[in-house]
Amino acid sequence: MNAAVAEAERRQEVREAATAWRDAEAIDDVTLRAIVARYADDRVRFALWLRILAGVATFIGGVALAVLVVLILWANSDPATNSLEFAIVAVISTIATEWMTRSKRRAQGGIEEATAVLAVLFATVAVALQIRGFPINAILLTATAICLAAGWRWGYPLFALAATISGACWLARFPHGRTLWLLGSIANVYIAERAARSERLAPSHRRSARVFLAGALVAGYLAINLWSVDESYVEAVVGDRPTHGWPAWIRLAASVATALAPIVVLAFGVVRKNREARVLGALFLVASLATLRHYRPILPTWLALTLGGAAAWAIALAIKRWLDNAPGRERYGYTTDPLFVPRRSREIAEVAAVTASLGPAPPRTSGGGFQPGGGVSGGGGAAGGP
Amino acid sequence: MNPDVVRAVEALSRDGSLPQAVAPRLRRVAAGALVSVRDELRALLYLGVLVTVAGVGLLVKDNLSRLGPVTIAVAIGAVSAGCLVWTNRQAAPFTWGETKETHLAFDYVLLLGALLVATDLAFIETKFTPLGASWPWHLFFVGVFYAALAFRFDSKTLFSLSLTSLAAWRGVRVWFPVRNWDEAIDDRLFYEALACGIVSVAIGKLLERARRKPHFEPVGTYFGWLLVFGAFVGRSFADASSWPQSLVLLATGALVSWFAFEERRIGLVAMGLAGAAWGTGDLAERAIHSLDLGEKSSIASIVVIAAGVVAILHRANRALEARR
Repeated sequence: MNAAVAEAERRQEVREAATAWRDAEAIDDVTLRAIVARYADDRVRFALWLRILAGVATFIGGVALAVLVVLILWANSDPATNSLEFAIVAVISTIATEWMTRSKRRAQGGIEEATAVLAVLFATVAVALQIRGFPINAILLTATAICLAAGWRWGYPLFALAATISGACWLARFPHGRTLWLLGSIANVYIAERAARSERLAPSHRRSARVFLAGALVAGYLAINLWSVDESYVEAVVGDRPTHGWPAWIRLAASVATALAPIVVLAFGVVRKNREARVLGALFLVASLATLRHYRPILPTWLALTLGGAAAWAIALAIKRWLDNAPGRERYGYTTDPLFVPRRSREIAEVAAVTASLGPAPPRTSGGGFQPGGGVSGGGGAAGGP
Repeated sequence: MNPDVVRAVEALSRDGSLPQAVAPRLRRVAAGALVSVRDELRALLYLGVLVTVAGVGLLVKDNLSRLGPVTIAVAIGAVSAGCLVWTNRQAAPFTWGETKETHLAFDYVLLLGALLVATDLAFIETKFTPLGASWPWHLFFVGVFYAALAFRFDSKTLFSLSLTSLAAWRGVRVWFPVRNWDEAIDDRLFYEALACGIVSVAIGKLLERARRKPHFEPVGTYFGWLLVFGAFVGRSFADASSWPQSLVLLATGALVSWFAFEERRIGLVAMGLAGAAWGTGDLAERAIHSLDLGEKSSIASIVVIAAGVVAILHRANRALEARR
């Protein structure tokens, strides 16, 4: 990453933190202004929604332009020519991204992010068209390498996500893909967790490391989950579902790992104070309980769900009480106090999430009867009507 | 952990730019030595609401014949009443302004209580049909009930759910008027969605002007314009759609963007611009189709419109920076 871009990111981190301190009234306006002046911004940035719209418009416009050029200049040409054309467009997109981020000093502007995505997309297509017979392994490996290179150069976490997915698909295609997933995940967790804390790395690289960490944890859990083993979900990713069953010892190992993995990940998240691991550990716990219920349906579904909901409440309230009753309202570095998180952005997300998931849908004109499940008319998962 | 902020806190503390009373706490938070689990607990409580409501829904469905409708209705009613009584005890005194959060679980107990009441009402309507053929009216009553709770307990979430229920009463889906993105909407749904959207915006503005929960205004405004633009976009897929409708979409988008820009409401600026771009694209597509100019012209029009949107955004951002 360009040193000036990295420095601008570091300054942005400080300004954002200072704004959160001000929102929490930890500092006053004068101090905030002093910090903003000291860590001044030298970049052209867009506000969030303008950034999203600019990114979408640039991406759609860029793809449309590339298609138009193909139709006008290279219609009916062979794959090699098409590959060259996509390579040219990828180079142009790369130059445009570099020009905007370096010369025009753009950051978080949507446009340069979209051209970076277009560069990666067109470069991957160019390479895929160049290789004879479309070998999937080579294409996945190339896509992973290009995403990693783009992520390193421009720092967008989206490339970390794309590299994780394409890299996982590539590993899954080997004879022992599941084992490779597990080993790759362990190695990735080790490296990414350290990278996410590194002083040397730019903030966007640290964010990418957190994406790698989360991806590695998910891949690792999918590799060891008993349900996933029995249904060959990892192998199904590449359409290579084995017809034979797994040996008994592998199923036994997977059963034990399904039970232990959520606890290990949760413990890792708590000890290392890693939010991704804590959240994913909790989700893995839900997934492991669902796996248990899949093999041993001990309770009716409604009771399992209601007890699950009650358990979630009990755990949340118990943790709250335990932390609130501690001296200084904190234990082992954890607290329930809001620590410099802008309230407004959280509120908007909450309102949108609740309305989307629990808002009632209009009644149907035919049929009827009681329909449980989220988001049906009546709110709270109920559809009335004769 | 954020090493850049840690360095900054140390530097600012050294030269006295940061108050000494807060610097150690800021440093601990930046270094990851002090972590808040507040958001995680809230997410857990929200998950609890989702799962419990789903469980109660299945209970009603699977055990109707065994337990009997009256038992189920009374049981759900009792639990929801318990939630609302607890909420009422915990709540801050009523005010037309914004109230402070009194308990971490407050919003979620309120939400659970409100959703269970709605579930109970829907169940009673299904089993005992007190409203008969007018059964969609139960959505109206649910919407009014949500609104009453929203005002009493100062809940934007319930206010949003109230608007959603009232729109559903008129047959309009929240995030998009139709079930699939490329599904066309008929005349009735189109005008219902437009009316719901305009009423939502008007309610928001009214609250702001009357200074009665003025902080609810953004919910009504964003919800309303989302419905209006969603209705126009959904309508553009219909055979019965016409160029004046595309023109109205273009004009509405432009006007919303313009006024939102004056108020520095960036989300609304983006929404209006996106609507205007869609309207322009629809008009261009109609013109290209009627003149039989071919697919290259269609693609070229997309390029031009996208470039136009980017150029407008660039200028808008510059103007915003200049005003700052």
